[in-house]
Amino acid sequence: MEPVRIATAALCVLLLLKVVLALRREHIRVEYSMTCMGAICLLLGVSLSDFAMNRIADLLQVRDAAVLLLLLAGVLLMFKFFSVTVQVSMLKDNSVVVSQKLGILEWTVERQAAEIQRLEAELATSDRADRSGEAQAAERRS
Amino acid sequence: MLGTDKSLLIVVPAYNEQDALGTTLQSIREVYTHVPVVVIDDGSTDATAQVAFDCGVEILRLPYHLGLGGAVQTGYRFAFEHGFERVVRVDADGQHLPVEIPKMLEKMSEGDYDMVTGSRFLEKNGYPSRFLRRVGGLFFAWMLRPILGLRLSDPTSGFIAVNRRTLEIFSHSYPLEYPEIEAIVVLMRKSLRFCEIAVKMQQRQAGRSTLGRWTSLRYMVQVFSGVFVNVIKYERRFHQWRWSRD
Repeated sequence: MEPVRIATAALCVLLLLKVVLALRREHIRVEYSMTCMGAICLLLGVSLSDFAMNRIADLLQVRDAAVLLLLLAGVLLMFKFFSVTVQVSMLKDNSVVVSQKLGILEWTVERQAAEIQRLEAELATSDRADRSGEAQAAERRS
Repeated sequence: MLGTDKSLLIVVPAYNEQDALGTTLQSIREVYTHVPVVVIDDGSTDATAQVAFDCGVEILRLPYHLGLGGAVQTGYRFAFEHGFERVVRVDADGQHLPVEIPKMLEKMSEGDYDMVTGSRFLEKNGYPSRFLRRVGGLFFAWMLRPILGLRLSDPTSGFIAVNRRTLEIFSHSYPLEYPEIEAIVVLMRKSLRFCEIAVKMQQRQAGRSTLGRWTSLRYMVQVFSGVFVNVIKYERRFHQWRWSRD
Protein backbone atom coordinates (compact mmCIF):
# COMPACT_ATOMS: atom_id res chain seq x y z
CA MET A 1 0.00 0.00 0.00
CA GLU A 2 1.36 3.46 -0.92
CA PRO A 3 2.36 5.74 1.97
CA VAL A 4 -0.16 8.39 0.81
CA ARG A 5 -2.98 5.89 1.26
CA ILE A 6 -1.78 4.95 4.73
CA ALA A 7 -1.50 8.62 5.68
CA THR A 8 -5.01 9.33 4.35
CA ALA A 9 -6.43 6.36 6.25
CA ALA A 10 -4.70 7.47 9.45
CA LEU A 11 -6.03 11.03 9.03
CA CYS A 12 -9.52 9.66 8.38
CA VAL A 13 -9.40 7.60 11.58
CA LEU A 14 -8.26 10.68 13.52
CA LEU A 15 -11.05 12.78 12.04
CA LEU A 16 -13.56 10.07 12.77
CA LEU A 17 -12.46 10.01 16.40
CA LYS A 18 -12.74 13.78 16.54
CA VAL A 19 -16.31 13.70 15.21
CA VAL A 20 -17.27 10.97 17.67
CA LEU A 21 -15.74 12.96 20.54
CA ALA A 22 -17.56 16.10 19.37
CA LEU A 23 -20.79 14.11 19.26
CA ARG A 24 -20.30 12.98 22.85
CA ARG A 25 -18.91 16.15 24.42
CA GLU A 26 -19.89 19.18 22.31
CA HIS A 27 -23.10 20.46 20.88
CA ILE A 28 -23.12 19.34 17.28
CA ARG A 29 -26.33 18.53 15.47
CA VAL A 30 -26.83 14.90 14.46
CA GLU A 31 -27.36 15.59 10.74
CA TYR A 32 -24.09 17.54 10.39
CA SER A 33 -22.03 15.04 12.34
CA MET A 34 -23.50 12.16 10.33
CA THR A 35 -22.69 13.78 6.96
CA CYS A 36 -19.14 14.38 8.22
CA MET A 37 -18.81 10.78 9.35
CA GLY A 38 -20.24 9.54 6.06
CA ALA A 39 -17.71 11.55 4.04
CA ILE A 40 -14.80 10.43 6.23
CA CYS A 41 -15.87 6.77 6.06
CA LEU A 42 -16.11 7.01 2.29
CA LEU A 43 -12.60 8.42 2.03
CA LEU A 44 -11.29 5.84 4.51
CA GLY A 45 -12.92 3.01 2.55
CA VAL A 46 -11.45 4.20 -0.73
CA SER A 47 -7.96 4.65 0.72
CA LEU A 48 -7.97 1.16 2.26
CA SER A 49 -9.59 -0.80 -0.56
CA ASP A 50 -7.49 -1.71 -3.62
CA PHE A 51 -10.64 -2.63 -5.52
CA ALA A 52 -12.35 0.74 -4.91
CA MET A 53 -9.15 2.65 -5.71
CA ASN A 54 -8.66 0.81 -8.97
CA ARG A 55 -12.29 1.19 -10.04
CA ILE A 56 -12.35 4.93 -9.38
CA ALA A 57 -8.89 5.37 -10.93
CA ASP A 58 -10.12 3.58 -14.06
CA LEU A 59 -13.29 5.63 -14.17
CA LEU A 60 -11.51 8.97 -13.79
CA GLN A 61 -8.41 7.81 -15.66
CA VAL A 62 -6.14 8.98 -12.86
CA ARG A 63 -3.13 6.74 -12.28
CA ASP A 64 -1.59 8.52 -9.32
CA ALA A 65 -3.03 7.45 -5.93
CA ALA A 66 -2.12 10.76 -4.27
CA VAL A 67 -3.88 12.82 -6.94
CA LEU A 68 -6.92 10.57 -6.81
CA LEU A 69 -7.24 10.81 -3.03
CA LEU A 70 -6.75 14.58 -3.13
CA LEU A 71 -9.43 14.84 -5.79
CA LEU A 72 -11.87 12.80 -3.74
CA ALA A 73 -11.10 14.71 -0.56
CA GLY A 74 -11.51 18.00 -2.43
CA VAL A 75 -14.89 17.02 -3.83
CA LEU A 76 -16.14 15.86 -0.43
CA LEU A 77 -14.83 19.07 1.14
CA MET A 78 -16.67 21.17 -1.46
CA PHE A 79 -19.95 19.38 -0.72
CA LYS A 80 -19.46 19.91 3.00
CA PHE A 81 -18.45 23.54 2.46
CA PHE A 82 -21.59 24.12 0.41
CA SER A 83 -23.83 22.70 3.13
CA VAL A 84 -22.06 24.89 5.72
CA THR A 85 -22.58 27.93 3.47
CA VAL A 86 -26.30 27.19 3.28
CA GLN A 87 -26.46 26.93 7.07
CA VAL A 88 -24.51 30.17 7.56
CA SER A 89 -26.81 32.00 5.11
CA MET A 90 -29.83 30.73 6.98
CA LEU A 91 -28.32 31.76 10.31
CA LYS A 92 -27.55 35.25 9.00
CA ASP A 93 -31.08 35.68 7.62
CA ASN A 94 -32.58 34.48 10.89
CA SER A 95 -30.32 36.77 12.90
CA VAL A 96 -31.44 39.76 10.79
CA VAL A 97 -35.12 38.89 11.25
CA VAL A 98 -34.63 38.46 15.01
CA SER A 99 -32.84 41.84 15.24
CA GLN A 100 -35.62 43.56 13.29
CA LYS A 101 -38.32 41.96 15.41
CA LEU A 102 -36.40 42.87 18.56
CA GLY A 103 -36.27 46.52 17.44
CA ILE A 104 -40.02 46.55 16.79
CA LEU A 105 -40.73 44.74 20.07
CA GLU A 106 -38.62 47.23 22.02
CA TRP A 107 -40.59 50.07 20.45
CA THR A 108 -43.90 48.36 21.37
CA VAL A 109 -42.80 47.79 24.97
CA GLU A 110 -41.61 51.41 25.31
CA ARG A 111 -44.94 52.66 23.91
CA GLN A 112 -46.90 50.47 26.31
CA ALA A 113 -44.75 51.53 29.27
CA ALA A 114 -45.37 55.19 28.37
CA GLU A 115 -49.10 54.50 28.07
CA ILE A 116 -49.15 52.77 31.48
CA GLN A 117 -47.29 55.73 33.01
CA ARG A 118 -49.80 58.14 31.48
CA LEU A 119 -52.76 56.12 32.78
CA GLU A 120 -51.21 55.88 36.24
CA ALA A 121 -50.66 59.63 36.32
CA GLU A 122 -54.28 60.19 35.24
CA LEU A 123 -55.49 57.78 37.90
CA ALA A 124 -53.40 59.48 40.57
CA THR A 125 -54.78 62.90 39.57
CA SER A 126 -58.38 61.73 39.66
CA ASP A 127 -57.69 59.93 42.96
CA ARG A 128 -56.35 63.14 44.46
CA ALA A 129 -59.34 65.06 43.17
CA ASP A 130 -61.71 62.47 44.67
CA ARG A 131 -59.95 62.60 48.04
CA SER A 132 -59.94 66.39 48.21
CA GLY A 133 -63.63 66.38 47.22
CA GLU A 134 -64.38 63.91 49.99
CA ALA A 135 -62.39 65.98 52.49
CA GLN A 136 -64.27 69.13 51.52
CA ALA A 137 -67.60 67.31 51.85
CA ALA A 138 -66.57 66.01 55.30
CA GLU A 139 -65.57 69.53 56.36
CA ARG A 140 -68.92 70.88 55.20
CA ARG A 141 -70.75 68.15 57.08
CA SER A 142 -68.83 68.85 60.30
CA MET B 1 -47.43 58.55 18.34
CA LEU B 2 -48.61 56.58 15.33
CA GLY B 3 -52.24 57.69 15.54
CA THR B 4 -55.15 56.06 13.79
CA ASP B 5 -54.49 57.25 10.23
CA LYS B 6 -52.61 54.42 8.56
CA SER B 7 -52.51 55.89 5.06
CA LEU B 8 -48.85 56.96 5.07
CA LEU B 9 -45.67 56.34 7.04
CA ILE B 10 -42.34 58.01 6.42
CA VAL B 11 -39.34 55.79 7.12
CA VAL B 12 -35.92 57.34 7.70
CA PRO B 13 -33.08 54.82 7.94
CA ALA B 14 -30.15 56.39 9.79
CA TYR B 15 -26.64 55.29 10.65
CA ASN B 16 -24.41 57.82 12.41
CA GLU B 17 -26.32 60.79 10.94
CA GLN B 18 -26.48 63.05 13.99
CA ASP B 19 -25.44 66.12 11.98
CA ALA B 20 -27.95 65.85 9.13
CA LEU B 21 -30.89 64.04 10.73
CA GLY B 22 -32.33 67.00 12.62
CA THR B 23 -32.62 69.15 9.47
CA THR B 24 -34.09 66.24 7.50
CA LEU B 25 -36.78 65.57 10.12
CA GLN B 26 -37.54 69.28 10.36
CA SER B 27 -38.03 69.54 6.60
CA ILE B 28 -40.34 66.50 6.69
CA ARG B 29 -42.39 68.14 9.44
CA GLU B 30 -42.67 71.30 7.33
CA VAL B 31 -44.47 69.29 4.63
CA TYR B 32 -46.28 66.73 6.76
CA THR B 33 -47.14 67.93 10.24
CA HIS B 34 -49.19 64.91 11.32
CA VAL B 35 -47.88 62.01 9.27
CA PRO B 36 -46.02 59.51 11.48
CA VAL B 37 -42.27 59.39 10.93
CA VAL B 38 -40.13 56.46 12.04
CA VAL B 39 -36.36 56.72 12.27
CA ILE B 40 -34.60 53.37 12.07
CA ASP B 41 -31.43 53.74 14.09
CA ASP B 42 -29.19 51.13 12.51
CA GLY B 43 -26.90 50.63 15.48
CA SER B 44 -25.48 54.18 15.39
CA THR B 45 -22.59 54.96 17.71
CA ASP B 46 -23.24 58.71 17.75
CA ALA B 47 -26.22 60.76 18.98
CA THR B 48 -28.54 59.84 16.06
CA ALA B 49 -31.19 58.33 18.36
CA GLN B 50 -31.07 61.35 20.67
CA VAL B 51 -31.55 63.75 17.72
CA ALA B 52 -34.55 61.72 16.55
CA PHE B 53 -35.95 61.69 20.10
CA ASP B 54 -35.56 65.46 20.39
CA CYS B 55 -37.48 65.89 17.13
CA GLY B 56 -40.40 63.94 18.61
CA VAL B 57 -40.54 61.17 16.03
CA GLU B 58 -40.76 57.42 16.57
CA ILE B 59 -37.43 55.58 16.89
CA LEU B 60 -36.75 51.94 16.22
CA ARG B 61 -33.34 50.95 17.55
CA LEU B 62 -31.65 47.95 16.00
CA PRO B 63 -29.41 45.92 18.32
CA TYR B 64 -26.52 45.99 15.83
CA HIS B 65 -25.64 47.50 12.45
CA LEU B 66 -27.60 45.54 9.82
CA GLY B 67 -26.73 47.68 6.81
CA LEU B 68 -28.98 49.94 4.76
CA GLY B 69 -31.17 47.12 3.39
CA GLY B 70 -31.70 45.61 6.83
CA ALA B 71 -32.66 49.01 8.27
CA VAL B 72 -35.06 49.83 5.43
CA GLN B 73 -36.63 46.38 5.69
CA THR B 74 -37.19 46.97 9.42
CA GLY B 75 -39.20 50.05 8.46
CA TYR B 76 -41.17 48.08 5.88
CA ARG B 77 -41.80 45.26 8.33
CA PHE B 78 -42.93 47.74 10.97
CA ALA B 79 -45.26 49.49 8.51
CA PHE B 80 -46.72 46.21 7.29
CA GLU B 81 -47.30 44.88 10.80
CA HIS B 82 -48.98 48.14 11.84
CA GLY B 83 -51.29 48.17 8.82
CA PHE B 84 -49.90 51.15 6.88
CA GLU B 85 -51.05 51.55 3.29
CA ARG B 86 -48.06 53.42 1.88
CA VAL B 87 -44.50 54.08 2.93
CA VAL B 88 -42.04 56.66 1.69
CA ARG B 89 -38.37 56.14 2.41
CA VAL B 90 -36.41 59.35 2.95
CA ASP B 91 -32.65 59.18 3.53
CA ALA B 92 -31.38 60.78 6.73
CA ASP B 93 -28.54 62.66 5.00
CA GLY B 94 -30.90 65.32 3.63
CA GLN B 95 -30.49 64.45 -0.08
CA HIS B 96 -34.19 63.78 -0.54
CA LEU B 97 -36.51 66.75 -0.47
CA PRO B 98 -39.78 65.98 1.34
CA VAL B 99 -41.60 68.56 -0.82
CA GLU B 100 -41.36 65.96 -3.63
CA ILE B 101 -43.25 63.30 -1.64
CA PRO B 102 -46.79 64.47 -2.55
CA LYS B 103 -45.82 64.25 -6.24
CA MET B 104 -44.66 60.67 -5.81
CA LEU B 105 -47.80 59.66 -3.93
CA GLU B 106 -50.00 61.32 -6.52
CA LYS B 107 -48.25 59.39 -9.28
CA MET B 108 -48.66 56.18 -7.31
CA SER B 109 -52.42 56.68 -6.93
CA GLU B 110 -52.89 57.86 -10.52
CA GLY B 111 -51.27 54.89 -12.18
CA ASP B 112 -51.95 52.28 -9.49
CA TYR B 113 -48.21 51.75 -9.22
CA ASP B 114 -46.73 49.50 -6.57
CA MET B 115 -43.51 51.46 -6.34
CA VAL B 116 -42.52 54.95 -7.43
CA THR B 117 -38.88 56.05 -7.44
CA GLY B 118 -37.70 59.62 -7.49
CA SER B 119 -35.09 60.07 -10.22
CA ARG B 120 -32.37 62.74 -10.19
CA PHE B 121 -31.53 62.31 -13.83
CA LEU B 122 -34.86 61.88 -15.63
CA GLU B 123 -34.91 65.61 -16.20
CA LYS B 124 -31.97 67.97 -16.08
CA ASN B 125 -32.27 69.66 -12.72
CA GLY B 126 -28.67 70.52 -11.99
CA TYR B 127 -28.00 67.74 -9.49
CA PRO B 128 -24.23 67.70 -9.01
CA SER B 129 -23.29 64.03 -9.27
CA ARG B 130 -19.76 62.65 -9.01
CA PHE B 131 -18.34 61.26 -12.24
CA LEU B 132 -17.72 57.77 -10.84
CA ARG B 133 -21.23 57.54 -9.44
CA ARG B 134 -22.73 58.69 -12.74
CA VAL B 135 -20.72 56.05 -14.61
CA GLY B 136 -21.89 53.41 -12.11
CA GLY B 137 -25.49 54.49 -12.59
CA LEU B 138 -25.15 54.29 -16.37
CA PHE B 139 -23.58 50.83 -16.09
CA PHE B 140 -26.47 49.55 -13.98
CA ALA B 141 -29.02 51.15 -16.27
CA TRP B 142 -27.34 49.39 -19.20
CA MET B 143 -27.24 46.10 -17.28
CA LEU B 144 -30.89 46.29 -16.26
CA ARG B 145 -32.16 47.26 -19.69
CA PRO B 146 -32.40 43.72 -21.14
CA ILE B 147 -33.80 42.40 -17.86
CA LEU B 148 -36.49 45.03 -17.36
CA GLY B 149 -37.05 45.81 -21.02
CA LEU B 150 -36.56 49.54 -20.54
CA ARG B 151 -33.90 51.95 -19.48
CA LEU B 152 -33.84 53.35 -15.95
CA SER B 153 -32.49 56.84 -15.49
CA ASP B 154 -31.57 56.54 -11.80
CA PRO B 155 -31.48 52.92 -10.63
CA THR B 156 -29.54 53.74 -7.45
CA SER B 157 -32.06 56.26 -6.11
CA GLY B 158 -33.23 55.55 -2.57
CA PHE B 159 -36.12 58.03 -2.69
CA ILE B 160 -38.86 55.44 -2.90
CA ALA B 161 -42.60 55.22 -2.26
CA VAL B 162 -44.23 51.81 -1.97
CA ASN B 163 -47.76 50.57 -1.43
CA ARG B 164 -49.03 47.73 0.74
CA ARG B 165 -48.58 45.06 -1.95
CA THR B 166 -44.90 45.92 -2.19
CA LEU B 167 -44.65 46.25 1.59
CA GLU B 168 -45.82 42.68 1.96
CA ILE B 169 -43.09 41.45 -0.38
CA PHE B 170 -40.30 43.66 0.96
CA SER B 171 -41.13 42.96 4.61
CA HIS B 172 -40.37 39.30 3.92
CA SER B 173 -37.59 39.56 1.36
CA TYR B 174 -35.28 42.51 0.87
CA PRO B 175 -31.58 42.73 0.03
CA LEU B 176 -29.41 43.47 3.05
CA GLU B 177 -26.82 45.71 1.45
CA TYR B 178 -27.13 48.19 -1.43
CA PRO B 179 -30.79 47.27 -1.88
CA GLU B 180 -32.18 49.70 -4.48
CA ILE B 181 -31.31 47.96 -7.75
CA GLU B 182 -31.99 44.45 -6.52
CA ALA B 183 -35.33 45.61 -5.10
CA ILE B 184 -36.40 46.73 -8.57
CA VAL B 185 -35.54 43.30 -9.97
CA VAL B 186 -37.43 41.63 -7.09
CA LEU B 187 -40.49 43.71 -8.03
CA MET B 188 -40.10 42.73 -11.66
CA ARG B 189 -39.90 39.08 -10.61
CA LYS B 190 -43.19 39.46 -8.75
CA SER B 191 -44.80 41.27 -11.73
CA LEU B 192 -45.57 44.44 -9.78
CA ARG B 193 -45.93 47.89 -11.34
CA PHE B 194 -43.09 50.37 -11.06
CA CYS B 195 -42.31 53.83 -12.39
CA GLU B 196 -39.79 56.62 -12.09
CA ILE B 197 -40.63 60.28 -11.78
CA ALA B 198 -38.33 63.27 -11.98
CA VAL B 199 -37.54 64.84 -8.62
CA LYS B 200 -35.11 67.40 -7.33
CA MET B 201 -32.45 66.28 -4.89
CA GLN B 202 -29.63 68.04 -3.14
CA GLN B 203 -26.19 67.00 -1.94
CA ARG B 204 -25.99 65.33 1.47
CA GLN B 205 -26.19 67.97 4.17
CA ALA B 206 -23.55 66.57 6.52
CA GLY B 207 -21.36 63.53 7.10
CA ARG B 208 -19.68 61.36 4.51
CA SER B 209 -21.01 58.88 2.00
CA THR B 210 -20.30 55.26 2.86
CA LEU B 211 -19.22 54.63 -0.74
CA GLY B 212 -15.47 54.96 -1.11
CA ARG B 213 -13.23 53.54 -3.86
CA TRP B 214 -13.20 49.96 -2.59
CA THR B 215 -16.75 49.97 -1.30
CA SER B 216 -17.86 51.17 -4.75
CA LEU B 217 -16.22 48.12 -6.26
CA ARG B 218 -17.87 45.90 -3.66
CA TYR B 219 -21.16 47.66 -4.41
CA MET B 220 -20.82 46.82 -8.11
CA VAL B 221 -20.00 43.16 -7.46
CA GLN B 222 -22.75 42.76 -4.87
CA VAL B 223 -25.43 44.40 -6.98
CA PHE B 224 -24.37 42.45 -10.05
CA SER B 225 -24.57 39.17 -8.08
CA GLY B 226 -27.94 40.14 -6.60
CA VAL B 227 -29.41 40.90 -10.00
CA PHE B 228 -27.98 37.67 -11.42
CA VAL B 229 -29.52 35.60 -8.60
CA ASN B 230 -32.88 37.30 -9.03
CA VAL B 231 -32.84 36.61 -12.76
CA ILE B 232 -32.20 32.94 -11.96
CA LYS B 233 -35.12 32.99 -9.51
CA TYR B 234 -37.43 34.54 -12.11
CA GLU B 235 -40.85 32.92 -12.00
CA ARG B 236 -43.00 34.42 -14.72
CA ARG B 237 -42.62 35.61 -18.25
CA PHE B 238 -41.02 38.98 -18.89
CA HIS B 239 -43.98 40.37 -20.75
CA GLN B 240 -46.00 40.42 -17.54
CA TRP B 241 -43.74 43.19 -16.35
CA ARG B 242 -45.70 46.31 -16.93
CA TRP B 243 -43.72 49.40 -17.09
CA SER B 244 -44.36 53.05 -17.29
CA ARG B 245 -42.35 56.16 -17.01
CA ASP B 246 -43.10 59.82 -16.81
